[in-house]
Amino acid sequence: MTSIAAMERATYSDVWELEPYKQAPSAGMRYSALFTEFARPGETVLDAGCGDGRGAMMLASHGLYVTTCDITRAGLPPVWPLEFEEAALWHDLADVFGPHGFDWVYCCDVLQHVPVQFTMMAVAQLVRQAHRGVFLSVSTQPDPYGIWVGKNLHQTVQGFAWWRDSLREFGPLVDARDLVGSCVFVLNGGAA
Amino acid sequence: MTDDPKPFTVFEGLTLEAAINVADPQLVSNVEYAIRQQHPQMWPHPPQADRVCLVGGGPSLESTFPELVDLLNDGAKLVTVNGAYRWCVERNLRPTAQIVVDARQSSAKFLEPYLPACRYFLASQCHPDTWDAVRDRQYVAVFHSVAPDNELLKPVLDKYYLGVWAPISGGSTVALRAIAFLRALGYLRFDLFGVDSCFMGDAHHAYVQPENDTDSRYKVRTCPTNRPDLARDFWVAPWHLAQADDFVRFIKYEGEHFLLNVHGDGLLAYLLASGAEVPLPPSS
Repeated sequence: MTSIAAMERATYSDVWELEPYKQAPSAGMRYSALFTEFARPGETVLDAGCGDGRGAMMLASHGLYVTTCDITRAGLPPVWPLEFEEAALWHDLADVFGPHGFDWVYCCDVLQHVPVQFTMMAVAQLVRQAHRGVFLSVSTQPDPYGIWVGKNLHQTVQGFAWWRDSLREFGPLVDARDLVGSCVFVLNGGAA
Repeated sequence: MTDDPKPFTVFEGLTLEAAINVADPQLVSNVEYAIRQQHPQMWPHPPQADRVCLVGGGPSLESTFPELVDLLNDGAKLVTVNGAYRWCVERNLRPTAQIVVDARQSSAKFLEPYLPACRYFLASQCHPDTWDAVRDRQYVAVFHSVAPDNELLKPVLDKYYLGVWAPISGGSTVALRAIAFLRALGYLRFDLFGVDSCFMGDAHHAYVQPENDTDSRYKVRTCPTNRPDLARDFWVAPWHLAQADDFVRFIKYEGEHFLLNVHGDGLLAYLLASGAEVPLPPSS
């Protein structure tokens, strides 16, 4: 029986074949400047759900030590200079990255893609990997690309207040910004 | 509260220049505080058919209370501003929403008592005490009572929201700003209660509002063009006339975008019903 993670991997391997998806604006790039108001050069960052890697490269250019992961490698260029691990965010990330964690976890426009039953499990995993904090951006809009693969890619479509209130269950939010269409949150890290 | 102060000559010897009622540094400080309270932003919505009863604190409120209740029983939404919120609650009316725009510290009192089902829409220029008054409430949202080219606040909002924010401008008082805000939310049909822009007897509000007790009073006469037979006298404070002037301009330029009915026998109701524009110089 194929696991949910395997099915998601297959879906996004197909999705990254789509030219419109490849050309879509990168949330990882868009929010990198804001993230660097929190993270300092020299700190380690896990880009969780790195997609095509544009965001990760931007973070690296700011002097951050970036490790990347995604459900599939299919979005990355053939030659990829940063560390990469294939991982489903709702699985135990310590099995993938070891017990030490990162200073920060950076996860942009990923959570709405996670199967709904695993969304907050994924957040819990990200919090456990981060010593200083977790930077999240989430889209609050339906996805426009899933029609090309016959699936709804944004499996959670909720507004800013829903995400804010859900994430507050992990502790007070350092930052929460409604950017209308998307939102940005910063949570304290929970790594030992 | 306008972003572009235009001198308004009330009559010879008295000119008003509308401006926000706190100094610029306090205003910036207020906005910097407000945007960090982790509330959702209000954003323009498509048109919707619901009717809104927008209730201000003008002295005609008591006399128009039965009309207000009738409209609410017909399904209109009750939206209040400032002290009208408590006035309605004390009469067992439950506002759907309360709007506060004023940047002064004293506006915090307009958020009591707490109604769990009420939506609280606060302008980002509101004082930190006002924001603290709604801490932990379920339905709170921020909007920006700012012109899109406001040189003071645009950089602050652009930086925090990465350029994604909606300016809601228009009007020198909370009532007119509320109309602009609600219109941005898609509402088209407005019934105004307690938005009089004049004294009625000695009353400037339907309830105690000491901030206005020292307002100057002037008698003005107004009539439709070439119809002095329809002239009426009103007692007004300078801010009443500024609101009336704003109101007429607002209707002139935006009037095709909504349906507006002003209840009561105040100056604004008269201006709307008669087509009169500017009050004549005061009677001697």
